[in-house]
Amino acid sequence: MARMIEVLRESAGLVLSFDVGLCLLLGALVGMLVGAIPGLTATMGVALLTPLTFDLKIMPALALLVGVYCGAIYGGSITAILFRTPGTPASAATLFDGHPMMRRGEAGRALSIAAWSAAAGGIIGTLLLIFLTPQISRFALNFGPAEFFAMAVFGLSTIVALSGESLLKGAIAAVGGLLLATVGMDPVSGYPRFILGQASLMEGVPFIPALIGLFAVAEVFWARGGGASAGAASGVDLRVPVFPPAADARRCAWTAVRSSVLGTVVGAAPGAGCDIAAFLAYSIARQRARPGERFGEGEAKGIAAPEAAKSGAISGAMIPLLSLGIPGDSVTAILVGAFVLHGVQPGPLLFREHAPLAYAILGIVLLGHVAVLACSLFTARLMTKALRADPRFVAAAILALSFLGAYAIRGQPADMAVAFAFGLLGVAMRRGGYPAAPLLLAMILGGMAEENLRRMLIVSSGNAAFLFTRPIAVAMLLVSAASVVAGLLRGRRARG
Amino acid sequence: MRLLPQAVLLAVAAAMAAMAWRFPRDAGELAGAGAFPLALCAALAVLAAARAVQKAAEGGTDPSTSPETVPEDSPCGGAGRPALPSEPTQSVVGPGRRPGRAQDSRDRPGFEDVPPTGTAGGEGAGPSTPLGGAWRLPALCVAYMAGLPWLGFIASTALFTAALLAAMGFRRAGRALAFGFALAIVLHWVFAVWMQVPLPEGWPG
Repeated sequence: MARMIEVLRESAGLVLSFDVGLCLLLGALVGMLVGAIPGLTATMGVALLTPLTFDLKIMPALALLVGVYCGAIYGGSITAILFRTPGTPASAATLFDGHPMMRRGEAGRALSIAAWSAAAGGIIGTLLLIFLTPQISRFALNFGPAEFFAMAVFGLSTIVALSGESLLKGAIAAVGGLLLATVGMDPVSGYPRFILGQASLMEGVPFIPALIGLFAVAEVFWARGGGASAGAASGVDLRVPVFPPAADARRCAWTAVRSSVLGTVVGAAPGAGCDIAAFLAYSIARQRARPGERFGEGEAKGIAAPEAAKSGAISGAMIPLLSLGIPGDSVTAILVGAFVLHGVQPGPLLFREHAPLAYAILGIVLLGHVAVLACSLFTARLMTKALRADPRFVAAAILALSFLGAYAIRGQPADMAVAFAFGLLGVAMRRGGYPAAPLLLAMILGGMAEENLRRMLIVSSGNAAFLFTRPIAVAMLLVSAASVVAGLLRGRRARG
Repeated sequence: MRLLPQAVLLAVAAAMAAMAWRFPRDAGELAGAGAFPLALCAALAVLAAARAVQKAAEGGTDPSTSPETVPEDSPCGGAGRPALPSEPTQSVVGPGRRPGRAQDSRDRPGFEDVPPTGTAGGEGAGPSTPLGGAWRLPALCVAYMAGLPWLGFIASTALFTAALLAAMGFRRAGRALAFGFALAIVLHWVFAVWMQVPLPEGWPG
């Protein structure tokens, strides 16, 4: 115990310095900008800033990169709430309730809930990271094909809750999304599927251009001359409360805590990142909606859940990274590189032999979320001012930026066409009353479901009963079945 | 006409199933590349058919008299589409939205008539509308994508933005162009200079 205190005091000495604080704030600001612009991703931001950290000492360097990472994951939500233009895939889950709340004229409230939930998620996630890293990493590394398949099925089972008024339409959207997810190279045999001769579709329908199209482009097309924020130019409460209203805080606290834990665990599983965490948390919150909570129309919990989960997932992704040296996604893979550049070798030995350094890194992650909170509250006024601009200028800028963003992700002109096609699809779906959330969730989870199902069948040489020898997978499948039944019963009760 | 979306879905399912049928089916493994897509196509077809039946039943009892209860896929006549219940404030019309002055259609004849279909499949078939300027913004987007490689990023984006503003009823050409160039230069700086994403330069360089 005494040694632990000694270690913590040493790490605090490393973390609490002016340089580190400055770098965290700077990184968070840059990250938020990168995250808010569709087409610039957290991965790009961290990758581009890594060379800039060569000349910095290790702690400020890591602070800058972690700040960018946290900021970029959060930044996408600002534009998702204000303009229905998610900057990152993970923030698409926030717009389902964040944007309607903005439309009601409560932009400041939505931003404040988002910022505080994100900070809560990050802090809870980091605390879990500090105290439960060995347990969580053991749990998450047990994930084989069967568990990932069960997790995908569980995610898809929440479509019942995401579908809104018509389950049938939700199911159609979900199957459509699953079909879109099969485009590209077959994950097992490598056979190109449905690529229509387009080499750019080999890796599948590019997700970010599709997302940009489905929301940003469709929003502008839909609102046509009215502009993306039509109806918001007047009567919007631009004041951003530093603290969310007490009623919201009470209302969302439990949702945020639950989503943070969920996000941390999902983030810790290699291959499942912030986007899956955010969507899962959103659909679970929606599934557990009490009567009177109108999800999809600006429900505070619908903002709190995905925001908390995706910041939790940042911390979660650090768990295998720090304890085992395994990066869970592309951002953390770059972070490993940056760590190594500065002489830190993530892995089991890090905590044993360089404990002060290891805990200092955890402290930086914790402070990174705080820095993002500070920056987001500080800049929120400025952001909401954009709502006062002529909506036609906003619409034109969003459209130009959407096409640029779609192009910039891979430098593929064909991706602009994808964004455009998804823009038309988004308009068609909105006109028909088809919900977008099941489509997106299915596109995110479809590849995971198919790939792991088939891998599992190969591993078990074709014996599907293998699934039932895996307790975690069975538990997740049972929960999915229960949630589908509960959702159907609830829907029947609501109708009848 | 009312069942057009379902027909499109069925056609998509059939086309994809026809393609998936020809994917290789390895003898040794259980599920080849085509199995999962085929199952999905079947599911999509069943669901689309179910929706068509449901809609036919709705249409039989309630011949689309109340747009609030039936926010359906049908192009709802010419005179303004009713706002969907899920988007209550959507019907607010922007300040400068006026008919006429379709600058792009004058500049680029032909685009108005061609339904632009992206490479990602036939999803574009849905939103045809009798409203006059509905295709204006999509048409400009197609023109932009076509012009980008030749004009380069800055020039084409500036013109695109200005044309969008004009299409949305903003009358001051000078200001629109100035905004377009300012936006294009800022974006070029952020993406090409700062983030080092190569953008098409075109002949202006």
